[in-house]
Amino acid sequence: MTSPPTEESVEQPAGIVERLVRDDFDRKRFLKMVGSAGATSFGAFALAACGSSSKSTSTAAGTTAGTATAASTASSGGDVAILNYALTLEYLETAFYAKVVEAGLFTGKVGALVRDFARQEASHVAALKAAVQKLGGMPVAEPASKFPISSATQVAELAYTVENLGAAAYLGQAGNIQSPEVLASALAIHSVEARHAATLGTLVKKSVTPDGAFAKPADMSTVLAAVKPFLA
Amino acid sequence: MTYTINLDEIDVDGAVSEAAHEVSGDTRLGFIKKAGIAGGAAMSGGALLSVLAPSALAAGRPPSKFGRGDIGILNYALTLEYLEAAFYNGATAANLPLTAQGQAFLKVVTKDENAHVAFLKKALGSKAVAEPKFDFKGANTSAEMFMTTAQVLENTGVHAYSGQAPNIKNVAYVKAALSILTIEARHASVIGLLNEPAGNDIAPDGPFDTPLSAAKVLAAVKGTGFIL
Repeated sequence: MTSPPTEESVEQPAGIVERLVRDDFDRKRFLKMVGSAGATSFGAFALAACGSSSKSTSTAAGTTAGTATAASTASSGGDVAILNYALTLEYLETAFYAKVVEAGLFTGKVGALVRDFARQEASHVAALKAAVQKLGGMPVAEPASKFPISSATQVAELAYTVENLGAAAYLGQAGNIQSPEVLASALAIHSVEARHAATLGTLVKKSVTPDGAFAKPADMSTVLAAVKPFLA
Repeated sequence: MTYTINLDEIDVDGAVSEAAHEVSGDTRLGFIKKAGIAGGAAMSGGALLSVLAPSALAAGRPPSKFGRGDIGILNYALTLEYLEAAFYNGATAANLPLTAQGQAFLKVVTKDENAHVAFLKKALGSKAVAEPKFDFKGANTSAEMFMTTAQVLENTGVHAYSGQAPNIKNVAYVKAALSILTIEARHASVIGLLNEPAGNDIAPDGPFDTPLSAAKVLAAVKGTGFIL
């Protein structure tokens, strides 16, 4: 079963991270700012840059970025951007699992397990949206997505890849998060991504710990390149 | 089921009150100030916890006997890793009649937990705590008890690292702790799936893993009697 982008998702305004994927310059600038230790004005800068990069169309995301800039304190801006990055990945995972459940490729225990994972990813989306708002930011819009859905084995292997990527993405931001509270919140999700990844590893007979005894992080640029095929 | 760890069993002993003292001695607000985080952000960050990780604010530090600051946290982690490694080394030596998947699990966790011990010992150098003496009371010499106990130990590792990672000051150690945390989570989900094939134990806390204070974790460990 192929999965063309749905009509309603095509109309979604582009999220910050999605547009950064499409705009190398903005992405590099974004990453540079994320990497700098004293990123006090980073949030306002990056979000404002995102807002102004969409000058041709007055998208909702542009407005979003502007509002977030005004509302965020300078020091929480970096954390807001990281949470929005996580939110974008969780949107993609949620959309992926929704398509998998819809395709009905899995039945019985594995089917139940996939539906559990789908619900947990949806909970991550809701929590991250709320977290961004609590920090005074504006959650990014859901990106339009597309995923190849052909067979149970192919989907399970793709899920394994996606969950491992998600776990590595969170780990990649561990050192960039400024607030201990945001870190505590992010890693409550992070370890669940790892649980999903290892479970899927068991199902597809691949390593449950592909990095060995120490999980390896993935930086934003690696993760964004990896998810690019899934953006519609 | 005598030797399973029960996290609700909180034994308020000397170590626990010591941990509580540590928390008040180095308050989270003090820590946040030291970390150079503006008040506004810290407050909204605190509110965030009610959404995501309700108990993280109470994730008290290890008692001072483990050392101060990051050293104390790493020594606390090392103690838990010593426990896991010794448990698995004993299980490996016992040549347990496990299923093929159980054998595969034991092989992975034995290697990983010994690697965690080696890493933390190296990071701590001369400040590393000595390995305690253990008595697993048969929990790693019976296949059934091994499977049950391993699941509890791995989930305890997740709770413990989740609780302490935000207390760590040195970013390099934060990264290392999270790198280990997710391995514990992977182990926990696999043994959960092996023990409960319907999948309900894969992520026992649901979408968000629960951080626990050092006092709670240590009380649970003490309750097992594994550490002499």
